[in-house]
Amino acid sequence: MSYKTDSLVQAIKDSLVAAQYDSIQVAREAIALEQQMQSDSYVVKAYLIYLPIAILLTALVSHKLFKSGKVFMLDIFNQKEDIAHSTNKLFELGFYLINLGFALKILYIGRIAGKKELIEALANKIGFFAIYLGVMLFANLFLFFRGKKVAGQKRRDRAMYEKKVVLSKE
Amino acid sequence: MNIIITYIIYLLLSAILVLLVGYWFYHYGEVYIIMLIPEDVQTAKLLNGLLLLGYYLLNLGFILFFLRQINSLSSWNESILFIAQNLSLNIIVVALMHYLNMLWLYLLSISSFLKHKNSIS
Repeated sequence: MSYKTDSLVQAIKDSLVAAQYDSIQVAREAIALEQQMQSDSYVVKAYLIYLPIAILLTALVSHKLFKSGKVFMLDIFNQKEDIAHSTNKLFELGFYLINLGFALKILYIGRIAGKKELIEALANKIGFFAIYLGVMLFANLFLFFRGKKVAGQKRRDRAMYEKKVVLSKE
Repeated sequence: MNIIITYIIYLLLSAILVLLVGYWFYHYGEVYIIMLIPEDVQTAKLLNGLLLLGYYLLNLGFILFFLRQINSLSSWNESILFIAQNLSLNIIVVALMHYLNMLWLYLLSISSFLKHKNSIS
């Protein structure tokens, strides 16, 4: 074989290898795109499952919490119905807002390959949100108990003060 | 196309949020303003309306001014994520403002109570 044919064969071999490499690359990219699209559809499904559950959980917790909150508020505001109702409602609104805001804030899910990972990711998200809700519940309960304590102290102070005024008039 | 739909949904949701929440605060907050100015209910109601207007201006301005740009959207997944992240920021800002307002009202009510007590004695 002459030098020329040798180099020609080499060139053909090189181009074949390059073509093979290119086709592998193309196939890899196609597979990656396919996986990405599948993952995207799973992620959308996960969002659509997670959001209603988070909203329902928030609604349930705030309903339970502020049904008993009304009693605390009536006690704090000396049985004044309108202001106790307003305060309770305002705290309820604040509770809804901050929890739904947090639920949306932690929405991001990176990649989901299959059904198994879908369930794992959802369990992780919902569990974390439930723990957060529990912490917020106890924070609000702490607020209620503290308000009750302060109101009781104020009531005692005022009773003492009025007693003093009556005594000084006598 | 997708980008425009995402912007429209996001802005509509934010506007509904701000308008509804502002109306609720206006409705349930009237009692407090009347409690702070018990001698003049008419002024208290006017003041409440002005506060509502200020709240709307502040929040809608905040939402429009800090509208983040989207450069490209590849799927619905990203558009849901965009709406959720931006809406959550708005909701958390509104909630924190709400709690600050409650604190502020509480402090004001303490100071008015003290004034009342001093004026008696």
